[in-house]
Amino acid sequence: MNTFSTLLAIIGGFNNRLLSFGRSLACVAMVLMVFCILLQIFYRYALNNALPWPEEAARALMIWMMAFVAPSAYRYAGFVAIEMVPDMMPKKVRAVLMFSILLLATLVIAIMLSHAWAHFSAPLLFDSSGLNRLLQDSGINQLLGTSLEFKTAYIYLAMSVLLVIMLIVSAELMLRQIAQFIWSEEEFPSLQTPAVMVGD
Amino acid sequence: MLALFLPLFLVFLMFGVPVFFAMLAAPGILLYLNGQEKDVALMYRNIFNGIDNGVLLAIPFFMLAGELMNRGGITERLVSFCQAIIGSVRGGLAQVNILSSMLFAGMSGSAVADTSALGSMLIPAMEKEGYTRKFSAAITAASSVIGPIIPPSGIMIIYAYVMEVSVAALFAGGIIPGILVGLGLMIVTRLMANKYEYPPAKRVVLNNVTISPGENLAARIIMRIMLAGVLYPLVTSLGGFGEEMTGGQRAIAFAIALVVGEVIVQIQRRLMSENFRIVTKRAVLPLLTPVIILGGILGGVATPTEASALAVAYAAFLGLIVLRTLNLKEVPGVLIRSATTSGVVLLLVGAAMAFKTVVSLSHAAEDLAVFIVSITSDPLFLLLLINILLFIVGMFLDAGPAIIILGPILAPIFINMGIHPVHFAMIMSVNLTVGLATPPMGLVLFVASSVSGVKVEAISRAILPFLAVEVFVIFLITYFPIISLGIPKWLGFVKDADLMGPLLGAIF
Repeated sequence: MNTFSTLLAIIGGFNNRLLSFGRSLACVAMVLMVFCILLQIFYRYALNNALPWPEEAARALMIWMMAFVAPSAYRYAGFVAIEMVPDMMPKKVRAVLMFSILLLATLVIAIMLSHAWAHFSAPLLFDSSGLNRLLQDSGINQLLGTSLEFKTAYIYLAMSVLLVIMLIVSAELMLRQIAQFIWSEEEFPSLQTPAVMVGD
Repeated sequence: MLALFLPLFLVFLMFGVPVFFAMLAAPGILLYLNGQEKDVALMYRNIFNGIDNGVLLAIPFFMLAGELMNRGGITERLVSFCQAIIGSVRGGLAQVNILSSMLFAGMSGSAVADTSALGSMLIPAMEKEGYTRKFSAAITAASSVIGPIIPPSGIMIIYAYVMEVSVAALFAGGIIPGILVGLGLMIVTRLMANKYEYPPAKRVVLNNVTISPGENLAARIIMRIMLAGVLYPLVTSLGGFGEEMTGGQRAIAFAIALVVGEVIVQIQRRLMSENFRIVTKRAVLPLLTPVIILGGILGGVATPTEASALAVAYAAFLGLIVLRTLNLKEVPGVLIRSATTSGVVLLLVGAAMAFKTVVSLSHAAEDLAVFIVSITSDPLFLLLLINILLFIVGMFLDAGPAIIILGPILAPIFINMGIHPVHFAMIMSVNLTVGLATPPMGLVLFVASSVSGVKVEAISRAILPFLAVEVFVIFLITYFPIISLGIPKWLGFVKDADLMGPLLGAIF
């Protein structure tokens, strides 16, 4: 049991830090998304000059934002499910069912990850025209003396990152479920959603 | 064999598999068993492409705007305004609860936000006035379903995107149904007030309320401009300006509308007390939010994404700078909560696009259509059956996921039978939204329970008269398409709609 506790403490501590960092990055992404669209509105209506990149940038930020926060929702049971039948079951049977669900979820995540990685590392990596315009217009390349280019694959990468983090979360949730089955829920309590996510 | 993914999906759902995983696992397993591994790759691409769309930016933005307003003290101002307006009728605070929900609906579009924001404020106040706690919780839960019906609405954005319908048309279509639900609840409350001897009528205008000089000036200007905006069409039609107006004529018409508006304001000043006027002025800036959102989208000035970003900027400006009720320390929490909720919704939308692919590959919708038509080909009876199905689904599943799952399966069947896509969208949206307040799994019942401390079972019983009204409104929407298609047609979002529908068509 001690080994199990230690293992869970290590993986739990790692996930706490990783997901908290992810949530902070998601906050930044959210603010930047709003900024991009407001800039688009200003240029389109006030200056009569529609910029080509804000919507593309906001979309990319939205996908990365999702990648940063969705694992938190997964860890703290934020994914919508009907739990009426499991709740009616005896504790031990419920634990087996929940473990099977986690196993199925992990399988789905793993298969999705293989496709997400193939999508990201496909030989044809398109340039992101709108975001490259941002690099040109902002003069970042001239300033740094570089020839940076945005590839759409950088956006595809978000899905791989999301799924890798979800796999790690899955591992923790499965270990916790096994521990609750073998020992008890009192010794291995379910995870408490952080106050910042609940809003109280 | 592939069509078996639907029953497998239902089994997964029943046994507690999260909707996101069930939507991918059920078709995925059958594709593998069918030797169609390549289509699994197609499913993945559709998840990504489904999420990678600018229209969806409106989802996190509207959620963020709602959270900002929830935290920014806007609720308190709206409630005081509603108290001043409607608090003097019998069962006043219950009516205030409903009217506040209707106004809040024009800003947030979330039933849960509505229940928690209004419930935490009004349930204790209602109890103090002599209402029972369970009745207060029930009316809060019942009226909060107006949130996603009156635009802006998160579920309508999802529906519009997944089913390729205009967001603006759905937003326009939700206005009358939302108002009908609100009015229906008000009538039942009034009738119950007599029967159960709810607290007698008394004038409820907050005394000694203050307003800063800057806000006072802004409210006065905005109120006059808004009033002139309302009077402008009247002035142009009565003033004989003709069909084609020049810029100068428009300016003159607007100036006349401003003057007429000023006369009305001056008359109103003499009739209303100082306190009433201040309470009203304090509500003007918050009430500008639906004007920005709906005016922008329905007026064709801004896209839903742009309108939602403007709503965020306006809510932040109000909460942080004008009203100063929002603390900077609260902002990260607000951002995290809206990001998390919208992150989950975005994943679900992606899964829905993959699910839609498999629905189309398996011809499940066509098979289901053949089965449904074999029961009856009478659209009136089919609409009744579908409403019952949606109502049952709504009892167990949140409105967003239910729309994502059932939209791609049911909508094509009914659209092929001649039901207008916007009309069907309204039937689905309103029915599944009412499901949020139905036992045993209604989400807002749980929120109302946690806010009020009353057991879900007690609220479930107290809410029944209100649910009956909402079911009646669902049937009105179903059989009288004019209710949901009238405004979209008037605004030009739908052109080929039959406003009469099969029932009125048969009568006339």
